[in-house]
Amino acid sequence: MSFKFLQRPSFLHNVSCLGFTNCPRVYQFMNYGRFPPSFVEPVYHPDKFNKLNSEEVKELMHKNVKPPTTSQSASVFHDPHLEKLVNFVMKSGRKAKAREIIKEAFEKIKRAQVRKYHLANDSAKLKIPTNPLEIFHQALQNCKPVLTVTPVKRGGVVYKVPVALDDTKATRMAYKWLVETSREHEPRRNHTGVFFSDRLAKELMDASDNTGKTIKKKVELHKLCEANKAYAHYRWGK
Amino acid sequence: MENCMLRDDKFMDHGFMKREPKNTLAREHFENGKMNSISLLLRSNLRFSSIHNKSVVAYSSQAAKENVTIKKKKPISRAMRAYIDRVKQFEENLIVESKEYSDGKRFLANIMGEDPAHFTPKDVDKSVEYLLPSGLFQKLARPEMAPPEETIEKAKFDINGRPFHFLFYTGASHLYETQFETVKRINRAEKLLEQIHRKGHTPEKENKMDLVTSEWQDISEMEKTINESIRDDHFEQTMQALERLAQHPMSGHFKDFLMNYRKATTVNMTEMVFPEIQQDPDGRYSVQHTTKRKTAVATVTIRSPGEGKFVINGQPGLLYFSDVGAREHVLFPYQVTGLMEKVDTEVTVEGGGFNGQSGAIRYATSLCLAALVDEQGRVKLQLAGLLRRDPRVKERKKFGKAGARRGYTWLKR
Repeated sequence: MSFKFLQRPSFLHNVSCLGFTNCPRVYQFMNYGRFPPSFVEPVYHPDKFNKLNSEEVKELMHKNVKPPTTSQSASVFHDPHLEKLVNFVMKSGRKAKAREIIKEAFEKIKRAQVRKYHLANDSAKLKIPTNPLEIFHQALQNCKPVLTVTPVKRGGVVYKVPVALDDTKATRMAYKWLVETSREHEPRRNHTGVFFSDRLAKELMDASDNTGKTIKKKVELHKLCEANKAYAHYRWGK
Repeated sequence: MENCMLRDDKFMDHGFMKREPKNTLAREHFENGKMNSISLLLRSNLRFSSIHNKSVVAYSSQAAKENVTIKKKKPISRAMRAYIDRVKQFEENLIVESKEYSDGKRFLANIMGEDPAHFTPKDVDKSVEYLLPSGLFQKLARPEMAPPEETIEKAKFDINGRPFHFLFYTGASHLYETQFETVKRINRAEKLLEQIHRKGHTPEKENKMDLVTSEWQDISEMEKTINESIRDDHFEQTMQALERLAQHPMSGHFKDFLMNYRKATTVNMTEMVFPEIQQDPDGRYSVQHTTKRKTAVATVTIRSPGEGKFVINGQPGLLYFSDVGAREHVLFPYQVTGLMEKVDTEVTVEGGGFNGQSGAIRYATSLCLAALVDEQGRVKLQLAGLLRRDPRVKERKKFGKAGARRGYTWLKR
C-alpha cells in the first residue's frame, strides 16, 4: 500500500496549481477569490517588456505573475485607456456592444476631422489632429480635475471641503463625466437621429479643444472649491 | 481498523504489548483481547493536545546531578526542589515516550508497506490521517502522532532560580534578542560605511545583499525560527529593524544573520513541466496539450515549421469567434513569441462561452509554444503571465444576498 492516491489528483496539472495550495478541502480549481497579494501584474505588452532591464526581469522571474485579464492583450492596437473607456460605456456586461459604439464614435471623429482638414488653409492644416486616439487622449487629459469637494460635518453643519485628487481618482472622474455628458440627450419628441456615438464623438472633440459640457463641469467644480477654500482646514483634526 | 491490522509475530514481541495501557478504555480492550497491536500502539502514542503538559519545564540532567552535591552544602527552597523533581519525572517519562514513538513509527511504516528506515515524520502524519480519518474541523482535535521532543520546552531557570536568558523578564526574550542583535549589526554596518566614506570612496554594489533571490519569512515561520509566539505589533517592529539592515549598503556583510529570517525563492519556471515535442512522419515537430478555463476544455496541436494555418473546430482562421476580445486572446501567445506565421495550429474546443474557450486556447497554446521556443521566449511568456492557469470562475450566489456579495435593498423603516 502506498500514498499515491493521497497526493494531488493527476488531472490537476502542476503548473495550474502553483500558488493555490492553501485550501486542501476545496477543489483547487474552484478558487474564485482574488489572487494573493504576493502576485504581481503581468508585463503583457511587448513594448513594455522591451523597456525592462535585466535586473527587473530577474526580480519578476522570482515572483508569481497573474494571468492577463480579458482587457489585456499584446495586440498593436491595444490601448489600456481605451479599454477603460469601454468599461465605462458598457451596460450590463455587453462589452462587444460597447466596443462597437466606441468604434462608431471614433469613425465619426475621423470623418469630421478629415473634413475640417480638407477645408482648412495649408498653414492651419498642420494643427488639426486626425487621429481619433490622439484626440481621445487629449480630451481625457483636459477633463481631469485637480480638486474636488468632500462633505465634512462640523458642529451640526455639513461643509464642502476642497480636497486634492490623485491621478487615478481624477482619471476616473474624467471617464465618468465624459460618458455621463454624452448620455444627456434631448427629450424623445425632439429626437432627430442623434445617437450616443454621435454625442460621444462631439464630446471628445470638444473636450480636446477645452470646450464643451465636460470641461464646463470641471470648471464648475474648481469654482466650487475656490468658493469653499475658507473651509480647507477642516480636512485635518476632529 | 480490524481489517487493516497486521498480525505479525515480530511486532507482538515488543515491550509495549506487555505493558498495560494507561487509558481505561484501552485497558478494557486489552483484557478482552479485542485490541489489536496497531490500535493500542496508536492510542498510547497519539498526541492529543494535553498529553504532554507544556507547563512542565525540562531541566538538563547534568544540572540535576550537580544538585546532589550542592544539596549537602546549601539547602534549597521547597519550590525549587519541587521544580527539580518535576523535571526529573518528566525526563524519565520522556525516555519511555521516545521508545514508544520509535516503535510506533516502525510499526506504521510496516502497515503502510514503506521502508521503516526512511519513514519521515511527514509520512507518519500522512498515515495517521489515512488510518484514522477525522471529520473534525479543529486541527488540534484531530489525531496526531509526533515525537515527544517536539513538545519540550528548554530549561529556563538555573539552580538558584535565576533565568538563563538575559531578557527573560521582557516576556518575549527571543524576539527582543533578535531586535537587539539587528540593531547591533546596523551600528556595525554604519561604522563600515563610515570607514569607506573617510577614504573618499563610495561603497560598491557587491557590498549590498542580493534581496531578489529570497524573501522575508511570515509571522508563523518566524515563530518557528525563534521558537516563541509573536505579537503582531512586535513582529512589525522587528521587521522594520531587519528591513533597515537589509536595505543598508553594507548589508552583504550580515548575509548569514539575515538569511535566518529569510527564505530562498526559486525562479518559478524551473518547476514547470512543458508538453513533449514529437516528430511527425512528415518530419515536422508537433506539440499537443489540453487545458481548461472556466468550463471550457481546449486541445491544441502546434506543428512546426508551418505557414500560419489556424483551424478551430474545423473552421478556418479566427472566424470561429465573433468577439474581438476572444480573437485577441487567441492571438496573444503568438504576438508575445513572434511565431505568428511560423507554425500551424489545430484546435478542438468544447464547453463554456467565448471567453472561457479563448482563455483555454490561450493557455494551451502558450504551453505548447513554450516547449518550442528558446529560454528568452519562455521568459517573455512567463512575465506576460501566460504560463499560469487562470483559476477564477463565477462565484456562486449566496442565500440572503442578491448575488455573490451584493445585499438586498433594505431600509430601517
